Amino acid sequence: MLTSYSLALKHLSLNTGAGVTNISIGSSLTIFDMQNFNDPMNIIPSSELNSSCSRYMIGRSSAFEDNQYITSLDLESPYHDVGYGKIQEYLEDVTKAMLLAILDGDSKRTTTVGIGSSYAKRKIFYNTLYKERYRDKTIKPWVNSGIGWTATHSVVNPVFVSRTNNIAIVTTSPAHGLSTAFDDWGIVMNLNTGIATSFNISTSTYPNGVPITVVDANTFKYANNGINTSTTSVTGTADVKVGWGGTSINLHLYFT
Amino acid sequence: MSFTWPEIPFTGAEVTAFVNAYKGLAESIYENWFDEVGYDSEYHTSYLENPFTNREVIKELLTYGLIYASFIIKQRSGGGGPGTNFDLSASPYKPQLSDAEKTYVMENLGCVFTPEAMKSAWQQKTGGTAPPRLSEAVEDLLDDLFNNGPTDPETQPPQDCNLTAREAIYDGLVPLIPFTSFLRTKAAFLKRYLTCDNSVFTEDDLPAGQANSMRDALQDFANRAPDQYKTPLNLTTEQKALYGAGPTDTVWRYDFYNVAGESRNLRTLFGVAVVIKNSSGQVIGVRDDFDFVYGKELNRTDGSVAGTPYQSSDVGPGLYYKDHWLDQDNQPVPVGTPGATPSNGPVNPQYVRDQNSNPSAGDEVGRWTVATAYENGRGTPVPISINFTNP
Repeated sequence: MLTSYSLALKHLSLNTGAGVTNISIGSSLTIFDMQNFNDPMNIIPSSELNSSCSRYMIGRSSAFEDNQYITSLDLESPYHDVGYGKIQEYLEDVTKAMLLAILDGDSKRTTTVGIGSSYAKRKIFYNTLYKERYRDKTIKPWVNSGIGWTATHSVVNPVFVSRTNNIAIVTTSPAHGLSTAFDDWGIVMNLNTGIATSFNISTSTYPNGVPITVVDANTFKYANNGINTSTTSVTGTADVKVGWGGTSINLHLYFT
Repeated sequence: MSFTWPEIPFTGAEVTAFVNAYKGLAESIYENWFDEVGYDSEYHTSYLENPFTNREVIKELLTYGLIYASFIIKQRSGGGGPGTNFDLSASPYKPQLSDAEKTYVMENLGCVFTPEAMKSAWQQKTGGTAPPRLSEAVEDLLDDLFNNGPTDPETQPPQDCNLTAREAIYDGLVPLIPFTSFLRTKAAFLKRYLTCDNSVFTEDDLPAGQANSMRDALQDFANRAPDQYKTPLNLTTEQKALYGAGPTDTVWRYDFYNVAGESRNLRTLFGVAVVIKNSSGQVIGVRDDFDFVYGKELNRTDGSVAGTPYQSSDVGPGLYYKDHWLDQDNQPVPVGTPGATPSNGPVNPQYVRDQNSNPSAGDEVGRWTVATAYENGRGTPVPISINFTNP
């Protein structure tokens, strides 16, 4: 196996937070949200290649009637190297597929192994990694409600938004009701007019929303590129989602 | 046990239960891979995203994924010990690289896109260089495949049953083809067909290293494929002898036009074939006639069986070029076949060529080649009679 592949498989991403990292310097240094998936909200396989790479690989595959562009990771000279970053993404994809297949319910926030036949679990595993047109939308994880991955947890009502240094802060009324004990909340903003729409989240890009950090009972924040915006009154709704996490999933690096 | 599992540095009841479930599911995925991972019969592509179509790649990813998945379970379950005590040595993390190091790594990873780099990578990664006399031809072929596809008309008409210039290039590339997927064997079959060599193709004619792989693939199909694809032929001792089978051997008709055949690379190699097993159930031989519904097809009328010499008068146009019906997979079948529907009638070779004229879109170069040869009146079915020496 290529050294780069081996390193990639043995070491997972050390993320510095999904845009929101809490750092405090005083008697100690604490960094939250250090260890999580590269994409902490979604489950879509990350196998896309850029167009040039795709064209080359498809051409080669056609010439040899070989529809697998990575023949084996164990070959000393694989025909196409894809880089350690891609290998780590593939590893995340398969890890997520296994968690979805094994864990109970929607596989979120649980450690309980689900009840079901091995065949049924394999179907979920395959279904997670299928190309979009072949996905079975009637079973986990693509079903649109209940145990579906993108099922909405709740709907909140933003009344004020602001943005500073590409961090959006949202105030809701009534209180959003999201527990600070969990670190896996996500949001799909759907505001109605004017500059407020620049805070919206496209579900075609982020079908399960973007991760948020709960600030207090009425406020949360999320990474959102855009101009600095003072506190602005808004109307609209926001769908709350749940991603990969739990009460303590992320590695909390702590120095004293 | 197919996997060599890594040590899990986390403990706890939840982790133990999850790890056991993970290992069991991973093993079952690996064991059932060939029978459950489907291929689209029409477009010859997998349902799965790449690179998850590859069983061995999946195995590696499943192996290494166990650590991270169990880490997540440990984090969710809380408690003390490695995984939750902020001890980085017990958690997977990524090596940190400087920008210069990242640049160095990326420069040395492949998938480069200048023609010169592609050709260089081609020669290096296939373990050697192409024979010097083929260098220009290889370049032409690469240009053809990666830029235009084989859509240009043949500039040289075939002379009798000699290979065309393009076919000669493919033939010259055969030594560069990886051993996987029986591609070298298919190339050998096709060369026989295109050069109108109708002598029986035996195990002695197989490319080096292909016989054992073929036997293993057939044996695996015999052992594990659904029964619906395996039909025993109820033959007398005399009829068995026509296939070269002994009195205690059994003779089967195997249909490889399915996921089980596809995943073992037998679908386009044989399609449907006669397989001989000994009294212990070991596959000892395979018989077939290598012909094409979109080229020349053999319909034996003299009582001979597949894999034996035939009379030339039994060779005619493939079913595509005659009145036919279409089955549920849109493949041509004889008129009146139960479950099939009438087609619009015979198609011409140009239609087949047009349907397979763009390899960059995943069409089949082989089908294009056969249809082109048929259009020029070329090609003869090849009887295949391969006997295996069992380990």
